[in-house]
Amino acid sequence: MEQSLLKIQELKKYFPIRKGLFKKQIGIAKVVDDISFNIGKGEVVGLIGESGAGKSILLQTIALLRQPTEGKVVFNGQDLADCSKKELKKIRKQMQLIPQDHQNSLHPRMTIREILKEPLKIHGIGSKDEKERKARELLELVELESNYLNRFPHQLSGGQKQRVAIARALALRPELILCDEPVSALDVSIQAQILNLFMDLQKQFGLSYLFVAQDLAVLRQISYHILVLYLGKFIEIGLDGIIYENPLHPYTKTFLDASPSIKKNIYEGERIPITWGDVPTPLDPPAGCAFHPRCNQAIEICQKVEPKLEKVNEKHFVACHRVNE
Amino acid sequence: MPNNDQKNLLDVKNLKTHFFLNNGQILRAVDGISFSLKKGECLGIVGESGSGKSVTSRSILNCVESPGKIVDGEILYEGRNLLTMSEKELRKIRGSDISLIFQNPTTALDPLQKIGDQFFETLKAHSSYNNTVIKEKVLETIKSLGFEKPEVIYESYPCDFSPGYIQRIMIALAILCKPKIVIADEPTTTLGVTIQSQILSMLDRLRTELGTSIIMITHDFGVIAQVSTKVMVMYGGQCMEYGPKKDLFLEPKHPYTIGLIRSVPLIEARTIKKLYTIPGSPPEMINLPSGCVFASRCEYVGKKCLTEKPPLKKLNEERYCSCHYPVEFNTRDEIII
Repeated sequence: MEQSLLKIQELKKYFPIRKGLFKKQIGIAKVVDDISFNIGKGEVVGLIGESGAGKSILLQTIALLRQPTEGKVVFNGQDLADCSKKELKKIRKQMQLIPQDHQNSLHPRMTIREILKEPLKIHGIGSKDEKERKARELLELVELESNYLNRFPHQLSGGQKQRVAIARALALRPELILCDEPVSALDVSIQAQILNLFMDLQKQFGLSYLFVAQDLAVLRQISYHILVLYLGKFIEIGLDGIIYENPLHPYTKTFLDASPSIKKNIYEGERIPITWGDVPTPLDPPAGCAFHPRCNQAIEICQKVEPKLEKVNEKHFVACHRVNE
Repeated sequence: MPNNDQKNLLDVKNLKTHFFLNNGQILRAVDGISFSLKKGECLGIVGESGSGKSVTSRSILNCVESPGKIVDGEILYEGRNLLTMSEKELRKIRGSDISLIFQNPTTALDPLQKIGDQFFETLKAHSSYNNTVIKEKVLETIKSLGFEKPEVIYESYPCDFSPGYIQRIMIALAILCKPKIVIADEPTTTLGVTIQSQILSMLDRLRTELGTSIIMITHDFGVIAQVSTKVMVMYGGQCMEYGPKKDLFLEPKHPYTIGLIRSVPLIEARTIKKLYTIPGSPPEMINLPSGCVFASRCEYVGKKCLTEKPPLKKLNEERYCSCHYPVEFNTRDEIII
């Protein structure tokens, strides 16, 4: 990877589970467990995982909306844990989060104009006129007309709200945007428009994205590097699209099979294998490999020993006992 | 598509559901839709939000909420018109002969009632079995869908499970009374792809093993490709194209169908490339254009499209398309990469 913009080192986020009158700690939920990766300048990294895998918590921990239990988040060479509040505010300017639920992430009683001006206000950027001009520019960037400035979020459709959320994230000209499933609740036709918008903006401003999705076909359109998250851990990392050509972990294959494919269904008429079950709860993770209860290739060792993330080649890392067979 | 074939389980003819708004305007949510459904078929209704898909599904059960009203058409279920039936007769059909799976699984079940009790209530209302038999039947149904511990599910509350799991339970509830038709209203939209594939394969099993007919409502042509046998494409409350799945996918005729198929992201794509998008957004239903409803977003638009509404033309025995200038388009080049 090129010069790294964001460096995550052994990041952990645990939640204590308390119960009873005295809030006695009865367990620990390891929601993000020992995660390390880098994002270079201008790079787009895709993060995939089912609901319950810990994607949102990971993003919130990176954005320091939650204090990490352990580990480092280094942004532009600066360890966020060592930063003062003032320095953090500056860094937050360069790192923006687009929250998952775009329906509810816009304040219902603020107009779009107020929503877009808010980040500028907080960081004290520009005079009154400049803020107004900036808000108009931002709307233009996301291909909305300026008469939307006076509207309220409830007057917008899902796709339009998502555009406003993107415009708000762009307001401070960040270098990195953490996108938490920005297209998963949209119609397919709108999803295509928003994905294209993300790509255009990325090229225009040289942005870096950490792009979360639940569908590999969606990530295919936007990023070459894919991280696969399962129960708070990476189980496969593939750079430069290698995951699409040569997926090694059975779980990654699940994702490739599960993406509805017109080609497979119409032209080839294949029956698609289904992987049953859900992500297990982090309160009571299975022993050994976390995926073994759902895995069709599990053997004895999978139930006992947890596989480590190992290097296959320069571009490919995988955590599976059966990878060398 | 008037087709008086005796074997049709459901025949919807020229259905019109309009909403009469307070300010005197009329919103034509569904405007002249016809389709038919045979035993063991799966009809996919595709369209963007606001195209009238959900109103169509509600109209079938004659439970459109005010200010909506079914103003015209016939819905024949096994030859009987649901629109002229009394409420009492309708209640016998709803949930037992025709059942509905909702879009949002987390809000479809009562959070304060045990899951088992909600199943129990449904079967009790639609059968004359005694309580022990009902409980047995409920457990049997849950088990038949591959759940390992039906007793545990019976005693649990909806909040004990994830949305994906609840959606699978909803399917069990929908088939509890052995319905002949299941209407699934965007059953997978709020779920991830892995859970989606589980739900779709369950629905497919219902169809192939039990012969249940399914009406699948979705905005995703990828989903349609997986489960449907025939497809109706809706836009602005009207039918744009209708026909068997395979034909429609291989040679779509209507520009809107083509647009929807092309905007599906492909898992097989080799390089990062821009997706095709249909320009603009769905029309405002209150003042629809006088010509073709899709004209303002269509790249093949001609003069006639702006002034004259295209009729639904029969292309061959099974295919219908409402376009003045049907397009010759082969998806093979787009999809086989």
